[in-house]
Amino acid sequence: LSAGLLTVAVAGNVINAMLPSAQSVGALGLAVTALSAVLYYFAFVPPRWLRRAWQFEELSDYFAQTKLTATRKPTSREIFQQLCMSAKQTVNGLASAAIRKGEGMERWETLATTDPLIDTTALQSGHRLLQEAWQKRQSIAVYVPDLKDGDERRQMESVGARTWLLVPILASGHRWGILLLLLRDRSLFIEDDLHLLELFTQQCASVLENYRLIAETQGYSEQLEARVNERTQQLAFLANASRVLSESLDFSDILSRMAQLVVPQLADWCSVDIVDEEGVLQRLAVVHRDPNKLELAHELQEHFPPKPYSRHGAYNALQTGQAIIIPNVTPEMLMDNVNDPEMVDLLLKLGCESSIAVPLLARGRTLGTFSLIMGESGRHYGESDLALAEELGRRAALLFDNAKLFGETQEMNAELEQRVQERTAHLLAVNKELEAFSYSVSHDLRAPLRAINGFSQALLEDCGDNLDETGHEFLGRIRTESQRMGQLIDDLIGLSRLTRTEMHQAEVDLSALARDIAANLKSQAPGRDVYFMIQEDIVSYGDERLLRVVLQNLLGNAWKFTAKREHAQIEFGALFGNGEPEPAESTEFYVRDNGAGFNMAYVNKLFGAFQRLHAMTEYEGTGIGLATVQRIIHRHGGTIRAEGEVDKGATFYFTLGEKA
Amino acid sequence: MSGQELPGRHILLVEDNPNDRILTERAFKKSNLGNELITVADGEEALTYLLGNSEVAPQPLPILVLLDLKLPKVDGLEVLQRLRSHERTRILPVVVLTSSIEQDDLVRSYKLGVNSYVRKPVDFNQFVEAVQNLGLYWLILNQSPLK
Repeated sequence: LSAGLLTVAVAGNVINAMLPSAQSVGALGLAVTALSAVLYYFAFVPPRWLRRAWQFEELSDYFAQTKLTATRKPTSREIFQQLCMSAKQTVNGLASAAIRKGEGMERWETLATTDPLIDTTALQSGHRLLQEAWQKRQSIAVYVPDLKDGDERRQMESVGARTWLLVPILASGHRWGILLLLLRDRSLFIEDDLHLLELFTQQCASVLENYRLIAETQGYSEQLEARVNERTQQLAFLANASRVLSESLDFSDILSRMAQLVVPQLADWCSVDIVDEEGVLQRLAVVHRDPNKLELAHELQEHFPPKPYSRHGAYNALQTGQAIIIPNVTPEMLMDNVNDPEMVDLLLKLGCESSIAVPLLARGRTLGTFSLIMGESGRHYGESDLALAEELGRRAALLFDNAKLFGETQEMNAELEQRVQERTAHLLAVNKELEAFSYSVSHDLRAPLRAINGFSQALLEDCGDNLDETGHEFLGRIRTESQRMGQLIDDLIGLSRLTRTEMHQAEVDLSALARDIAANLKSQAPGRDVYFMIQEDIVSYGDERLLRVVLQNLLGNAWKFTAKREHAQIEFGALFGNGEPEPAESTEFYVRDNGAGFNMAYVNKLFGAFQRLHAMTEYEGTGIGLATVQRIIHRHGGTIRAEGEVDKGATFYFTLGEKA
Repeated sequence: MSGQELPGRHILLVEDNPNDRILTERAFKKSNLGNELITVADGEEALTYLLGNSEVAPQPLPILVLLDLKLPKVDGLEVLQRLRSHERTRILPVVVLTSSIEQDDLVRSYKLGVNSYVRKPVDFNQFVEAVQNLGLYWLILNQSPLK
């Protein structure tokens, strides 16, 4: 409205100025002025308002059309095309275009156009103005005939549009392009149109910006999803790998399985090497995705192990303990690291574009390495592959190490078992031999004795008359000695049998045993004055039959060696520990007598077989009794010792060990 | 040991050791047993005597068999087993007379159905005593269905 009133005032002044005679006319001039102003106003203003109303309707249509839709994202070309169409229609233009000048580009690029009219000629002729609008980010309206530069004017006129409107399409400082609108002639409403076009470009730019942001967000989320997918796949891969690898307890099998696992998902081919005792890598497996290249892989495995201490990736990993990634492998690099033209040739045939070498570390030791190689698939390793390979390496190494330990343990067990079996077999053989030996001793040694004894008796009987007293005596000695030897053989067999017969352990009432034996001894020599002191209720654990032999020998010895005492005294008892009510492992039992005793200097000879501390004539016996006692005590896990003094007596102490 | 007819009251001694044979015969003489003592030197001969074979008919049954365990060719335990599995000799009194006091020999002999197990003592007088006891028991006291 203010523009309208201003126009009326201006029009009035113009009319005044144009009528020099107005002073004479006076009121008429004023009236004409006023009338023309009113007419002008009514002729001019309503169309403008109508036009504006219509234009805003167009604008709101455009807004409605460019609304963001979730269903379909229009292309930027479509958006620019829409802008051009709507803009052209709204300002009743001749043609419209959206153009842009890319980074470092000289020429203008047409994004969308309504008319082929706007061709390179148009863009070139308006280049200066377009450049100005682009750089200053300002809208420009040009009426071509007003241009001062003749060349430029002529060029622009040749396009056939006398008014050019240039509106930058801007959003958040980003230049999307320039909306170029050509009008056939001068526009009365140039300012309005320019303003309106700015609204159009703003909407367009914000739509474009929104789509850009949406795309960017989508891009991010897609990237994120891709990362999540990748990571999920990696974890699934690792979980599967752990499962597959842990199915085996054979360490070389574990690594072969690993090589099978990584191809083709993680590598086109893979090689596994393990460290031998000298620290040299031994190639364990080479696996290739391409069945046609298995032969080459086999050749590499058989004939081209990594050269010791070379710059081969496997050795690098072995020496540094670090995984090594080479995203892009070049033949020169291969030659440099491998230093063997034949091997490089083979590697190139297998395909070698990108590689990762991973050490197999467990308990601070590098057990081996594995190498992942990408070849014909053209894939290249990145950080995420490296992380996965390292993790796989850790798991495989741990399982490998466990399997190795398990194998070693098993080997050791097998060896031990083998040794136990050998020992047992050996012992059984020895035992059998002993049995056969003692059988033949008991059987075959006695036969000659019987002959000696029998024929000396026959001699005595049949030819006794021809012999003098000495002859009789000698024959008597022959007979006695042969009998004694028979007894010795029996005792010896008995002793050896003691170590071979099975023990039947149970509770044994030692006091009762001792009483029984004492009564038996007394009955054999009723004339002797022997006082037995037997402690009551001594119950222990052992083989009753064998313990009877022990007490028979010890009490029998006491009986024998007290033969010369007028008042013999024999004791059996137990020395309990501090207040202990019943025998324990350490409880000592004892048999004491006041007989002949012995010299402590010879105590070590006491328990040897056939060792005697007394003359045969003095005390009878084969000298096997205490050896027998000691053997039985030892079989029970106990110990025996003796104390004695010549002519004062002897005491034998023994324990019976743990309850078996 | 020839094919001559023997009275049914003889004793068969299975003994390979000539010394033992002589001493056993002597002990029998000394113990005043009237029964004839017939001796064979190994298990095979004993089996032939008692059971015969494809060529030789069995000899008349003795009243008692004194069997050593350690014998050439067929050992005493096997002889015992064969006698016990044969109808003719199933209930024939067999006494093992041996040097062995191995528990195993003792148990196996009784399991195979021996009637007595006597260990030959080294002392000849004790041996004579044992033979006397054996004779008294098996030839006089004991009631045998074979008598």
